[in-house]
Formats: sequence, C-alpha cells, structure tokens
Amino acid sequence: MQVVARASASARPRSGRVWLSVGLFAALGLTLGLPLLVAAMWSLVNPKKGWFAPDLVPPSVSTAYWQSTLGDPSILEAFGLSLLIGVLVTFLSMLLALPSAYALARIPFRAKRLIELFILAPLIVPGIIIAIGLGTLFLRLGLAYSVTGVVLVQTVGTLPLMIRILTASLEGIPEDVLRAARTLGASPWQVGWRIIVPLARPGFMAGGLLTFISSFEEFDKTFIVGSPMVQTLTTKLWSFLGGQLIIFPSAAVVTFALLVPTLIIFFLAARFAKDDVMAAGMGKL
Amino acid sequence: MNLAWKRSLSLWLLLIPGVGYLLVFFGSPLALALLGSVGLETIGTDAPGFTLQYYRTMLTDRIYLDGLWFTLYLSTTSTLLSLLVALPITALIQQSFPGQRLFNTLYKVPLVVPGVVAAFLVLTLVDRGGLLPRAFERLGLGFPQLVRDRLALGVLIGMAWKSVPFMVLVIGGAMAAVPKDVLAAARTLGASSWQAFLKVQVPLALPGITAATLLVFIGSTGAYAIPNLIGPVYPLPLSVHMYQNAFERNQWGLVAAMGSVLSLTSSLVLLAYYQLTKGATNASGKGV
Amino acid sequence: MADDLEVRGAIKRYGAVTALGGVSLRVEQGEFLTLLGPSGCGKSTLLGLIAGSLEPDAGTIQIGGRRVDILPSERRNIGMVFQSYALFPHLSVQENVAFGLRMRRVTETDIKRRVADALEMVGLSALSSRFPRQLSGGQQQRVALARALVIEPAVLLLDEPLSNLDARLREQLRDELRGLQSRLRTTSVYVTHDQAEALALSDRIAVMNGGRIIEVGSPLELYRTPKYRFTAEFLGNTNLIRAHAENAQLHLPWNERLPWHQTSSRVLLSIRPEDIGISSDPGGAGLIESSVFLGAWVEYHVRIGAQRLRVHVAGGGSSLLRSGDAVRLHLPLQLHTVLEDDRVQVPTSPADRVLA
Repeated sequence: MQVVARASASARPRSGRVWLSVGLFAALGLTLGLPLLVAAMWSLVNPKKGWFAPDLVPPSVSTAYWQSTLGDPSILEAFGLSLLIGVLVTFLSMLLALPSAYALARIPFRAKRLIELFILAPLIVPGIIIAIGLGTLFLRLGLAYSVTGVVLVQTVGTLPLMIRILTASLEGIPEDVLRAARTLGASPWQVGWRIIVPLARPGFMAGGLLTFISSFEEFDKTFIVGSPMVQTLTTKLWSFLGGQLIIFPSAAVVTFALLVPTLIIFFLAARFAKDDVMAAGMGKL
Repeated sequence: MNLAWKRSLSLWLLLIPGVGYLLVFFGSPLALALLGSVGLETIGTDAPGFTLQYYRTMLTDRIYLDGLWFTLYLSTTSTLLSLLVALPITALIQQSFPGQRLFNTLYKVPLVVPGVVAAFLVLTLVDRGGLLPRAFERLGLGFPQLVRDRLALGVLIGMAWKSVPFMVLVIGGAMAAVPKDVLAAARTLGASSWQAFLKVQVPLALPGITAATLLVFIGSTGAYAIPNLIGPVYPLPLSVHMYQNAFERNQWGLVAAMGSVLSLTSSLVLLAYYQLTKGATNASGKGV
Repeated sequence: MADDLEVRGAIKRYGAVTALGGVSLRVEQGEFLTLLGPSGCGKSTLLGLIAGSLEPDAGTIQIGGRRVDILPSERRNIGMVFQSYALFPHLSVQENVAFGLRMRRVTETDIKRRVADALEMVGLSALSSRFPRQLSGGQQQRVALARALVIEPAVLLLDEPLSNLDARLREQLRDELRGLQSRLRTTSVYVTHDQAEALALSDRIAVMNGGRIIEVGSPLELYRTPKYRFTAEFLGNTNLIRAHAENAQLHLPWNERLPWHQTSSRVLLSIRPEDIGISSDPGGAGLIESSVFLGAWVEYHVRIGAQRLRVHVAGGGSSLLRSGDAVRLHLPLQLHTVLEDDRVQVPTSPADRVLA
C-alpha cells in the first residue's frame, strides 16, 4: 500500500514535472523573492545618493542605514526581549494546553462541543478588544507594562491554536497503546509522561513553531499591554513603519532585522514540524 | 467516592489549565467589552450607565456603517482571492516535482511575515515610485494605482499574500489525508488525475477547505496594519476605526461596540456554516 | 471483456533498493493467477505496475496484446480491489459502483441497470443507498468488488482483498470470490501472503521472493512437487532433510539407507509432515519430543538421529502418542528433492520454524 502511495504521482512524464517545478518556483520568485530583493536594495541605499525613479537599482550602495539602525542598542534589546517572550509564551501555552487537549481528544463528555467552540472564540474577537480589556485589568494588578503581562496577553491568542493542534495529534494515539502501558503497571501520570508526551511530539513541534512565530510577530496585544516599557522587535518595527512618513531604507533594515531571525527559527523548526499535524489542528471547525 | 464522580472530577481537573486560563484571561476582557459597549463599564473615567448610544452611533453614523461594509468587502474579497490562488497551488503540489521539499518550506514564509512588513513590501513594489511602476514606465506603459486606491487592491493583494500559505497548508493537509488507495481506485475506474482530484479528493477534503476559508475570513476581519498603511483614506475598516477611537479619541464604549459587532459578524458566519454542514451530514445519512 | 496479460522483464527500483528485479509473467485469458510471497517480496509492486499506480524502470506490460505500461491508470481498463476497500466515503454504495461507468460516459439507464446487476451479484441490492461507513468490512469489500467488476475490466487486480477481514468472513468471501470467478471468467491477478487463499482460489500460483518469481505452477504442482526449497517451505509445512547418495543408495542422516535412482551426491529432500507415517515401536529409532493437538490432526515433533521431523497424523483414529515414546517412521515411497535456492535470499523466519 505504501508502494502505491509513494508512486501514485510518478506515473507522469518527467518533463511535465520539471515544468511544474519551474512554474511553481517562478511564481514563488515573483511573489516572495522579488519583494524581498527590492527591500534588500532599499536597505543598501546610499543616503547621499538616494534611489529615485526611473532607476531600477540604487545608483550606489552603502551599509550606512544598516550601521545606523543596528547601531541603535535598543534594537538588539528588543530582539532579545522578543526571543524571551516567544519562548515563555510557547512553554506556557504547551503547559496549559496539554491537559485540556488530552481531555478533548480522548475523553468523551457532553459539553465537549461547547468547549471546542469556546476555544475558538479568542480567534474571533479582535485582539485590540482583548488587549485593552486585559490591559485595564493588568493596570489594576500592576501587571501592565511588564514582560509577564505581555506573556499572559499573548497566550490568550496562542493557546487556542496550541490546544487544537495538540488535540489533533493526541487523537491519533491508538487507545491500545495506552491500555498496554496501563497493564504493564504504569500509573496515569506515568502513561502521560512516558507515552503521551513523547507520542505527541509532532504536535508539540508544530504547535510550538506556530506559537513562537505568532508571538514573535504579534503586535496589537504587545503594543497595548507592554508599550512603551516593553518593546519587542515588532512594536519597534511599528515606530519605523507605522507612521505617516516611512523612511524606506530604515524600514527595510528593520524589516530584515525582524525577518532574518524569524526565518532562521522557522527553517530550523520546519524540519521537525510536520505539515499534516499543523493542518490537522486547523483542518476542522 | 464513586467512579463516575471521580471521572468527571478528573475531567474538569484536566480542563482547568487550558480552558480555565481562557475563561479568566479571555472571558474577563470580553465581559469588560460587552459591558463597556452598553456603557456599564469604562476605562479611566466613570461609566455613563446603561446606554445603547454606542451601538446607535455605530449603526447610524455614515463613517462607521461604511466601515462595516468596507470590512466585509475586504474580508470577503481577500478570502476569495486567497482561495482562488491557494486551490490550484495545493492541487499542483500534490504531485511530486524536483525541489518539492524546498518549495514546501519556502511557500510558508509569508506566514511568519508581520502584516506591517507585508504592507511595506507592497509599498516598495507597487506604490507610485515603487519598482513595478518604474519598470512599466521604462517600457512606456502605465501602472494602475494599487495603493490608497478606492478598491483597495493593494490591501487585498497584501492580505491574500499573507493568507495563501495558511490556506495551502490546511487544504494540503486535508487533501493529503485522503487515502491514496481511494485515489488509485478512482484512477483504475477510469478517472483522469484531474477527475480524481475534482470528484474524489476535493469533496473529501471539503471540511478542510471550508475550515481554512472560514479561519482566514475571521482573521481578516481584524486586520489592521495592512489597510491602515496602504488602504484608501475613506472608507476605513472597523479595525482601523477601533484603533483611532481607542488611542486618539479614547472612546472605549465605541471601540467595544465595534468589537462586539465584528465578533458577532464572524460568529454568525460560523453559525451559518455549522447549520449548513449539519444539513449536509444529515442528507448523507450519517445518523444510522 | 477478459483479456490476457503479459509482463516482460519488469524492473522497479527505489533508490538502491530493487523492489522488482526483472519479472516476466503471462496470465491467460480468464485465468486466476495468484502472486504469493512474504511481505516485501515485490508482489504488491508488480500489481502496482500492472495497475499503473507505479511506473516501471524497465520492461513492458501488455493487456490483450496492447501495450499499457505507457498508458495512465484510467486508460488500461482494469478493475482493482484493495485491502483497505478504498471506497469513496462521500458516495453511496450505488454511486460508488456507478463511478467507473460515469467516467466511461455510460447512459443513465444503462448505469442503473448495470449497477443493480452488479449489486445483485454480490448480494447487496438492499443496501444500495447506504454509505460505506454504514457497512461492515465484508459488505464494504463486496461493494468494492462490484465496483471493480461492473466496468467489465480486461483484468481484475486484487491486492490482499481479504486480509482486513476476520477468519470466518475471510473464508466465506473467499468462496464467494471463487464462485464469481468460475462464472465470470475474468482474467484476475490476486496478491496475497496467505497460502491457503492461494491454494483455494488460483488456477496458477506464482511464488515470489526477493523481487523475483521463484516458480509458477498449479496449486497441486507447487504443493506436491515444488522445484525450490523456498516454494516447499512457503506453501504449507514441510520437513527438509539433507542426505547424500552413493552407489544407488540414499544415506539419510539417521543411518537409514534407501534405494535411490539419482546420481548426484548431495540432495535436499522435502517431505510433507502428513506424508510421513508413524507407529509406536519400542525398538524404533524415533523419539517423540512433543505433540500438539490441532483438532483435525495431531502434530508430533520427532527426533531421529540428529534430525527433527514434524509428523501430522490425521483424525482421532489412533490413540495419542506421548512424549518420550519410541516410534518408527515410514517415509513415503516417492521422495521429492528440491533445489537449494541460491538465487534468492530465503527469509529466516519460515525456514527456521520448520527446522529448529
């Protein structure tokens, strides 16, 4: 059966596959490569010469904008903070999501549908509403403008995804395996730690990747709860891009400062995070 | 302690960390917003007491009404646009081709690009003075205005650009979950690869396709950065109105009312979907 | 309708692994041929090549004299039945069976008639508007069979169709399949690892191992007179005995000599457990080590000299011999020799079970 699966696509002329590849990569180059290339050129513009129409490439390149932007120590600080918050949000989401995901995946109960819908709700309500509401509460609790506050508010947005993805991946564990572990003398806790957690690894990888990335690029909630004391790379980016006047070269440099680490993490993690697990978490409502 | 009782206790203990967290940290701001939208709670100042004035303003004031329609226009159009692009890509990448692994990683890059960066990239490419208008001008051709234009074409492009990978990921997952034997069976029965795709794979992946579409739609109703940066000056989507009212005018009641209306819209769309699919599963005779 | 099938020199590789190393095979019109072998022997790969879900690296495939290996699956006019049933979950039983006819643009009235006939044939007329998930495994596989047969395929391919069913149902469906085949005479290629299915259903069996066909023959030929050790061991149980011939005498490993016709010095005998006679004899050279009661027969494990033999005794006629009893063994009159098969790697499990 695997044999059939592996090759069902291969009964196709080889040249057709090459053309398919060419077409797909060309489309990717146009929609992804070109914009990034243009942004890269903007980041390298020589401030003395500028880059004006009708030139298609900057007349002269310089790393002046890179130096001045990255020379700003607050950028590095923001990067470190983004990383810290991303990691904290990811672990907090995993920790909170696992028990609930287990219950949703493996225990039948009457209110399940209702709870599934409730978990979907934070995706429906605009982030600004949650952020302003929580921000007000945090102000009373002394959590506003703190890393803790930002982590807590971001987790509201990432937890639903994590629960859904973990639920999907826990649903795939055969009941027999768990029963076998119990008959071999494992307590429920031991089954959880030694069987369920390792088997849910694809779910943790996929959910963790998505959570980390959405934390890294999250703006609304971080800005409202954390700014101006807590500045992540994304809220920092906003000060370069969000205004009425955008200085293209600086904006381009900050764009890369945000994008490069994100992409590195993404490419590293993408090797371990299986597409089907990510898709399964989202694939039904 | 009897067994059933113990079971339900452990069930609730399991649910508490995740669901409990959301109850507290999502439920309380939601309650605050609902109360605020009818004047029973406010931020900073004293609450004016029960009033429907915020909803009235929202649903009668031309600016906000246009905003609501504009939000729906942006969400619907950008979602359809993404679906239109995502479906053929998903179909194509089901086949094997050289460089497939690389493509499967690269196409997801927009997933991790913040909206504000996406908007910036659109600007550098298609705004007046962007690369494409410059290139077109060299060829002696005009270039349509795509930034701050009436139809918000640039916004739609930017939003679709961000949501296509998500759709491809989810729809691709749903399609990959269709057993290979079932597709092979269709082929041996005389279906071409295209027919097998249309008549077997797509219908079986339909729950995934609709889920992806709805999630993209819901997500796009709150989109702020892209329309704010490259959208038309008027109308503005509700998401942008919410920011302006929150930070420039300090009108929490109005913000809460707009948020409630947006959430309600998304909920209605979801509800309609559930209603429809419930009918569909009944028709196919699941309940036996 | 039914056509003959010919595979010539089919090779299929996956990177460094050769799944199929040059297989040639002819299936006559109306014949039921089984590809039998352990998992990983290449039988499913061969079926995939015929079905068109796999592309051969070399070789040709002809159906009814027409070359089909260059055609996509849908233009080969084959019917296929899968182990997983592979029914379309979103279509009713009726629509599942109609699918192939719709692809062939058969008129609506004809579709109705032919679908009804096909469902009648597999005894599922009453369930035509059900959905696959509402059917049992056996019913699902009958639908799959009707779906594959209704298009009147040139060749019917069956990929372990009974493996997902429980034992009793498997036998029942096996008999139904036999009945259908004897009525319809569709050219069929059946893949299985179950030797009982192969023996019960086939006109001929092709025994496969290590990506090659070891030998082809009728069930009777292959069971009674296999040429190769692999066939002897895979098809049923057997005792393998190494002996050597000298001066028209065969020297068995336990100091027994028999008159012998062949001249070759070393021989490998294959003797079926049910062909060996056994009798209680205090002066006999054999010693019963253990016995297993299997209902229809009793299996004795007998040590004789350095050799261990399995002996099956049918029925409850003779009283049970006990462990430690001395016995005399009676070898069959016609001893059958097999070739040590050095072309293929014999998997260790079935062999070791016999000669521990």
